[in-house]
Amino acid sequence: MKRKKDRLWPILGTVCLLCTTLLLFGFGWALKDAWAPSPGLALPSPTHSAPQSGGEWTSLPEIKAIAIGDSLTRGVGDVAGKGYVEDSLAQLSDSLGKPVRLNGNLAVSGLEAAGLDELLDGKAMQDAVAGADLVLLTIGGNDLFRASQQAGGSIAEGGGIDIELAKRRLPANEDKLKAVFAKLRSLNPNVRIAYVSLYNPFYELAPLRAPIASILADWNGSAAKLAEADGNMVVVPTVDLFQAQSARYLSSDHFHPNGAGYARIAVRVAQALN
Amino acid sequence: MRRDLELIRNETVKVWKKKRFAVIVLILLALVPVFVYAQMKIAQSSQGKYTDWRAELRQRIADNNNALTSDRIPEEWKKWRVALVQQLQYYLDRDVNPNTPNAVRFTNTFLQNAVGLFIPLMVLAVASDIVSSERAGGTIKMLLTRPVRRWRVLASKLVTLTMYVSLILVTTAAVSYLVSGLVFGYGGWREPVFVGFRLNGSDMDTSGVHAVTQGAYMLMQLGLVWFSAMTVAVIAFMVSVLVRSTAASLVTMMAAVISGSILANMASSWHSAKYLFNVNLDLSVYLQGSPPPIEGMTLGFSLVVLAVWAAAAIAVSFAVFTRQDILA
Amino acid sequence: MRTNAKARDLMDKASESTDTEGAMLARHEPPVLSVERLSKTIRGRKIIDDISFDVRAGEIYGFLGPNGSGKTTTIRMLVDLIKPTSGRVLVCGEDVNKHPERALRHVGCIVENPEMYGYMTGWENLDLFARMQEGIGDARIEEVARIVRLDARIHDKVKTYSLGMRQRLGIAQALLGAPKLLILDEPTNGLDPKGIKELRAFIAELAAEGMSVFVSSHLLSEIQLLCDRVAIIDGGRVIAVGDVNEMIAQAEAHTLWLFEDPEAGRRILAEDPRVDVAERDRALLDESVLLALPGAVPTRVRQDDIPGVVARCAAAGAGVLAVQRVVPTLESLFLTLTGGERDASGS
Repeated sequence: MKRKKDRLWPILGTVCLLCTTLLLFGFGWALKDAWAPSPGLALPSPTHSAPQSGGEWTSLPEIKAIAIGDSLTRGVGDVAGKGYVEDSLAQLSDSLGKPVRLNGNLAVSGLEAAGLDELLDGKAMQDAVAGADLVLLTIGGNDLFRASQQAGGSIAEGGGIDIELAKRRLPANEDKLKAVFAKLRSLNPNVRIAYVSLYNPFYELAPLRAPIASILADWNGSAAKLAEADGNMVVVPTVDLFQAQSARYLSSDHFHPNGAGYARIAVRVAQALN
Repeated sequence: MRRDLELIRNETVKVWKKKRFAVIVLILLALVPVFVYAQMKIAQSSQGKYTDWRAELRQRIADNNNALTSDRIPEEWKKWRVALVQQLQYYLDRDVNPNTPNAVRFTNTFLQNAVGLFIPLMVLAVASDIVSSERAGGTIKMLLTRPVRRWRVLASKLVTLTMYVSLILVTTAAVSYLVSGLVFGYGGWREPVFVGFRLNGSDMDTSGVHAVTQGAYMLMQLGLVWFSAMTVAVIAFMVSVLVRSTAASLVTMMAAVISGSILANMASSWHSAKYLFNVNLDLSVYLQGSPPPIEGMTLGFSLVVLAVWAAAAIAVSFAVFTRQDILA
Repeated sequence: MRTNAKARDLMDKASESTDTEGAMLARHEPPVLSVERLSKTIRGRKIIDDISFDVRAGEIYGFLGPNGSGKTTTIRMLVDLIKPTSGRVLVCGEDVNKHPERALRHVGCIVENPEMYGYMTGWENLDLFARMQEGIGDARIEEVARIVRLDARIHDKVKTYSLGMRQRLGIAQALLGAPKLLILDEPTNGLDPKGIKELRAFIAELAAEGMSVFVSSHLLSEIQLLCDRVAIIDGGRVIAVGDVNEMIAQAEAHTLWLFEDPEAGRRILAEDPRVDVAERDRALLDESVLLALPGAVPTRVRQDDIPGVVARCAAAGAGVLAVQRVVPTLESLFLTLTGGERDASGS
């Protein structure tokens, strides 16, 4: 009947006590850190420098691409959410016979040229551009259309677009595009830039068709001039893709392309780059 | 004092022999590998996609920025995303990877996600039972007819509960660390984490931000989790004194904890909800610098709310237990 | 009745040894348990109404009452499980309610069922309760386990115990602190006859060693077999306190007659002036006794007159098969004590 040696309590009691002490200490530390923080850990200064890209595409084992810009690069309007970026890079990869890797689609819906310019001042974006062999870019649609939308209403019906205002602002907007191109080039002298130019989403709205078309011609033309001056930049034309039967290639918002529309853009981008 | 220690010993041994703790360990051993596997899948999928953690982080920031442009997402989600974007940007700017896969990181993330629901539920397995089981089993008649004052019996149970809450938390962290280490490696104790982000409206105040090691972060987080777990435990303790059946007290507390986690997600416009204990449980948001469930909540505020609830629960427990008639 | 007689022997032996000098001295000490004007009101209902009694050292004290009379409530107040509304309980001079830590040191008790922790062994249970009190070592645990004869199974889990073993473990627990007062609430509930007999002998032994034992029961025979003195409770009030045998003697005893020729026998009894045929009292009699003597005639007759009546019946050729004195039941005792006020069929 002798009792067995009982080791449970000494062990359990000690372990529990240690745990409680540890957690109380942690709690105290958390309070101290919240209200009277010590200087904190010295971090090693960032040693990382962005991998510089460079060289002819033919000599590279892999093309590193990034996509920046606005909702068009984001793929807004495509039910599948893909947009043109992945498809065009896949087609490019096929025709080049080497992998083309997307190192991030950093586009932000609703971005205007000035906003992109500001983003390019951030270290993250700078690293991304510096490390890329190819930049896919859309920008300007919001500057030209959204910013000129005065009276509100549905953009699908061209609601409230003030043609005169858009015209007046055109030179300033073109300067912003120029600034973006210049910044990209300064961040990476070797990167190839593909700028997807603007199409006319209001082609089917008779009163708007002609005035918008003339604004777009001006804009796309100035982009083309900048590209020519640069030498390592292509402007991908899209106007013609959305002229006939535009309803087939525009999404339900009558502004962004749909999946089929993006697919057509993708083909153009891949062709322009090869 | 010696007698009190013997009482604590009795209570501790009872909980142990009842295999409450063993069940909790089994639950952990069953669930943690599931979470580890899920995390591993996430890590694998992003590994194939990005050459560099920086690229991944950039993409995350861009994705969140895009989500912010949509009018359809609720205002409080936006706030949360703005905070997240600003934090990620802070990490990126200082070239610190916030997502290195290792066991310490996994454990920290796990604790952070477990504080609102998982840990309270484990704590309840002990807390809801510790008094009511004596009443349901009739053993309370034996316990209270010994020459020991009632408040001492209850105090020994409270101390025992505290010890088990601590043990459960440390065990949770340990199991999480040991299991995830098999997949992610056991390193990461000295990696830096930024703390001290403060939200000022929709803007992030980074003036107080400083780096601590992940090890220190884990300890602080465990300390905060302990505080909220203790509050849940003490309130469950009170319910366990008031309610005869273990099942009833468990269900009551589970309802309270679960409704808290629901409220925390939807009560941002009901301001006085911030005085409820159950929306204040997730103290780790303050450590991370994410927006609290309801505007105006701060670490100090939540600690005071929890402490007041806990103190009230202890007062009620003792007042009732020392006076109540044991009728059946 | 024969088994009862056997237990009676055991009791007699026990009371012989009670008459030691120590026990005699104890009689002059203050009472071990003193209940003073105890009342309890729960939700406006008076459950216990002003009850008082004393239990002396070394005495087995019965607490008799039908179910629902307030026995358990009273016992719970004796051990501080229920706070009295008024009045007080003193154990060895200490107020149980005010200083439970001092008063309960002298008390061992089982309230209702002996509930222990089923997931632990008998030893672990005893060890647990031993630690709640000063000065109980392993030796004492071993001793009480042996006293209740659980030593063979003491390291088995309690959930594997039979009811009788649990009862014994409960008693072992109550005995741990070598209490001056042992309180047992309906201790024979759920025990088989053999177990009941053993328990009686055991309680007698404990009392012989100087321990006071307070036993509650709803069975008069139980109390009669076991106790020296008794308090009878009904409807929350103590209606009588005193020596068990005296009290039973007060109550009208019945005598059962069984004849070869029942018709003749009944006629002879009815004609005899010494005999009062009490057919109406049949309901008051112990059913098991009636079962053993089917067709018996219940009567009231003085003990001295029985030989004469038997002789007369024999002479008349009724053929007496059995004559049996029947102990009064609680019901008939109540009738006597309350002067017939109480409804005999009520409980």
